[in-house]
Amino acid sequence: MAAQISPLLDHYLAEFARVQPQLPGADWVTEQRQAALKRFVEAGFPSNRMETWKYSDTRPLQKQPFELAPESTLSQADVEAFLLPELDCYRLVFVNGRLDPALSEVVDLGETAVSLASALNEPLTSLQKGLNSTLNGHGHALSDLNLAFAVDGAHIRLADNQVLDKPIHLLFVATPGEKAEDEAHMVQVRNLIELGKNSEATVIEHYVGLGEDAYFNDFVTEIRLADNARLKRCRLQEETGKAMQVGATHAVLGRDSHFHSHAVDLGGRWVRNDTVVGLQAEGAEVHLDGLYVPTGRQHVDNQTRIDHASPHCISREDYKGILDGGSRGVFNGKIIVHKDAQKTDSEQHSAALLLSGKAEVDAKPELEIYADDVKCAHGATVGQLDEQAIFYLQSRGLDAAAARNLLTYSFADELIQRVGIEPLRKRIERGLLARLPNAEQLQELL
Amino acid sequence: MATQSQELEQLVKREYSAGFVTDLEADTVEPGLNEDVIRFISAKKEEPEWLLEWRLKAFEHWKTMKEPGWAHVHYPPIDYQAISYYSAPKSASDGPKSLDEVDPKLLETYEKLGIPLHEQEILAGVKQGIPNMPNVAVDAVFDSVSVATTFKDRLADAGVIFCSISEAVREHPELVKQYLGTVVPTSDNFYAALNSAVFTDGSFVFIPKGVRCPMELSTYFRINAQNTGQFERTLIVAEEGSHVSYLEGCTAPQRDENQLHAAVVELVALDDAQIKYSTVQNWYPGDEEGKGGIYNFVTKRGDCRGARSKICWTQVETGSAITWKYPSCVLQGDGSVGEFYSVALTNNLQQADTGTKMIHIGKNTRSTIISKGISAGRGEQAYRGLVKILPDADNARNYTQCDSLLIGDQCGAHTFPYTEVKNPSAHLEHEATTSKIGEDQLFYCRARGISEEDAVNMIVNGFCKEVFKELPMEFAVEAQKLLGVSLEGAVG
Repeated sequence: MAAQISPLLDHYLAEFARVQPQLPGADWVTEQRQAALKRFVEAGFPSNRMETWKYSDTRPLQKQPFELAPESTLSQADVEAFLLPELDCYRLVFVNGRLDPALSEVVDLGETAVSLASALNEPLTSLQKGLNSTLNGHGHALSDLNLAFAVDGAHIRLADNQVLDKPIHLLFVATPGEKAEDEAHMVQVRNLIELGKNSEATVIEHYVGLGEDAYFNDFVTEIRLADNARLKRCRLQEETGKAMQVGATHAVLGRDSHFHSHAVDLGGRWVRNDTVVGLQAEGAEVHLDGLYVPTGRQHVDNQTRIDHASPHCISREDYKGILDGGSRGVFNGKIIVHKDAQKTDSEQHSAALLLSGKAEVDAKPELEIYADDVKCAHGATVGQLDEQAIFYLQSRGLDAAAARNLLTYSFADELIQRVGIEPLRKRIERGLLARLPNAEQLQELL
Repeated sequence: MATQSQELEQLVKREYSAGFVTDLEADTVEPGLNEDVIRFISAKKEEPEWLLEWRLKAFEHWKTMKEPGWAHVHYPPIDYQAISYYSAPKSASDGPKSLDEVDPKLLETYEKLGIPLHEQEILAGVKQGIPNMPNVAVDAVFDSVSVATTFKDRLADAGVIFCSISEAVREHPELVKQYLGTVVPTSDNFYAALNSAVFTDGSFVFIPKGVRCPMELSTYFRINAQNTGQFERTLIVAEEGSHVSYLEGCTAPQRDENQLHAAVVELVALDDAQIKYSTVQNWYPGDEEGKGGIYNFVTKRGDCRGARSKICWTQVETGSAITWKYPSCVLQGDGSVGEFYSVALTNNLQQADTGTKMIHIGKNTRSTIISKGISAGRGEQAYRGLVKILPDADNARNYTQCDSLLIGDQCGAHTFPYTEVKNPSAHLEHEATTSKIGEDQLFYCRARGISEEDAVNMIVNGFCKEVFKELPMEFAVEAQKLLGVSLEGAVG
């Protein structure tokens, strides 16, 4: 077998051997890493012959071998632009995947949020049960690559009945630092969020980058909610124009728990997100909101999967895309209602606006239903703005271009409004505005 | 109580009412597939050299292909060498000239199928059409050879060619050569390639320029003779400004071994032409354990080649153990229209993976998809559709609605709608719902003295109404009856 491994996969084997001494974790972690690496090498990079990768060609990821991004330090000034100054929050800043305590603000947070690396290094850790436990076979090869190389991440753990007073802002900054000309870096982050019974938290995952070089950001966020826990999670992706990102979120929900996820993709050259939610106990509820606004040559692929494995669960899904330039958007929403998951209530909407003749959108809202007493509906639309609405605005004195812009903005804003956290919402709105034509004129109208 | 449950049991166990075997001395070739078998079929049909070449090319390609595994269906692997690829009723080789010449057993079969006597006579070409009877021309495919074709003269007067494809190969080779395989190429997919290599018979329809076909055209397909896969090939060509409505209905005798059915249907519509293709499919679905039953792996595709042309597929799928079928429209002509209306019902262990593809290539093209799936017993059912808007298809419009109705907690209903949009002026809508028959709806009917089974039938028929109204009158009635029969034993 060894002879058949491609040079590229061979590179990752060698890279693992090189960096393994600096990777955190006790022996059991090393074992998991080695097993994951083996799975990755056996499976190789996903190909678009696989149904879930049909519209996403991973060749951009295979063009060059990536090396694990080295440790790097940034000053407060470097990250200033990415902070949410008006937001009263806890902050953990990760540079190239590693926690930078100097930039973080974790006073009073105690053991609630720690670096995953330090947790993994503890001799006896509850992580042994938790790490990689939410994937349930729904991960892909790049999630295995992540497990093998994960350097750090946030480990958020709320005790039973603990209600966090402020949101936690997790800022992940990728920076080229000092690197050779021909090197390309990968950042491997793994987050684990575990909420105890009746606990409540808000977590902002914010992915940004510095510099002009291409890099590969591969992250996995695992979420486990105990009975009656509530989690609001916002993922804002503002990577640089050459960045490639593969992100996976795996959530397992306990009885009567509530998970609300907002995902906003603004940056990145090639982006793939997998969101997998398992409704494992009665009464669990999940809301997935997603917004993607690619332009130029950007590629954004959103894959979601919701497993209704228990009766009386609720799922709501709303994804919207605005595509300009020669960009491509992919949405695949899969809802599986397992046998005996009676009284399931599920709704899914996906909508896309194409602003350019070169943009493309591929949407597939899937339903797989094995129970009869269920309410499932999905809707998908692709289209342009309502001509009558444009006419209305024109009759109120706006020129056609401004009317279009305003309507495009409001198409997305409906989702942004739901984010709720004011400073974050403002930031997303600014990011959206910057991507629309005639931003200044639009700004005046708002 | 005891008698009631006995009655119920009898009802549930009621056997497939069209299940019977006609013993004919079939001229059957030994099971197996190789070049010799293809040469045998070709020679038997007195085909020209080019068609044999075409078949062999398809066979060569088929050998390099893999059986597709992506459909949401499960079945034991098929041994393609265990199937006999040719079977013809012996007495038909000369072609019947009057009713007396038609094999009496064949007529018996028609009778059991409920084809009225006068229709049988016309079927055998004995009598001309009776003025008061519905204008339906029937081309009966009994096993693999078309036995008789009716209404030929009336159609001939209009300039319409309606005959078996073997006859068309002999009588109108230039037309067949021009269009055969242009919509579904021999290399299209595994089953289409297999069909191209070994197809035995099917229908050929040609509607010349500006002609409105004076009657509905119809084919009754029947699979007979054990272990004979039936590979029909249907080709319908509608020239500029013409109009045709074509009906296809099927029923097959009860069998214990799975029978493979891999048909190919090609439709070509030129400028302003309209083709309406309706199917009622009621092949043997297997017993309640899923034993026996037909494998229905069909490739159907219509090509709206001309501007403002229209192709409409309507299907009612109640039979077969496994259905794998995606009647599609390639909307090439500017302003062309594609429509797909479907009712699919799975009961017991039936599985269906069906849907459509709408490929928008021309400008201002429109498509409508209405799919109704009913799943009962342990049936599994999937809608799989693709709506693709290519970059030049300005102002394309699509509306898709796929609803599923679940009866019982052992069944499954799935939806896999693909949309690929490469043009910003496209307008697509997709809606899907899944529900069950409401307790209150049933209660309302029961309170008015309607039995539970009748109530379910009523509700199901209402659910399917949007599709049934697209069927020609005679078929709509038959389809409603079929649903009722197929749902027997699903409730209670």
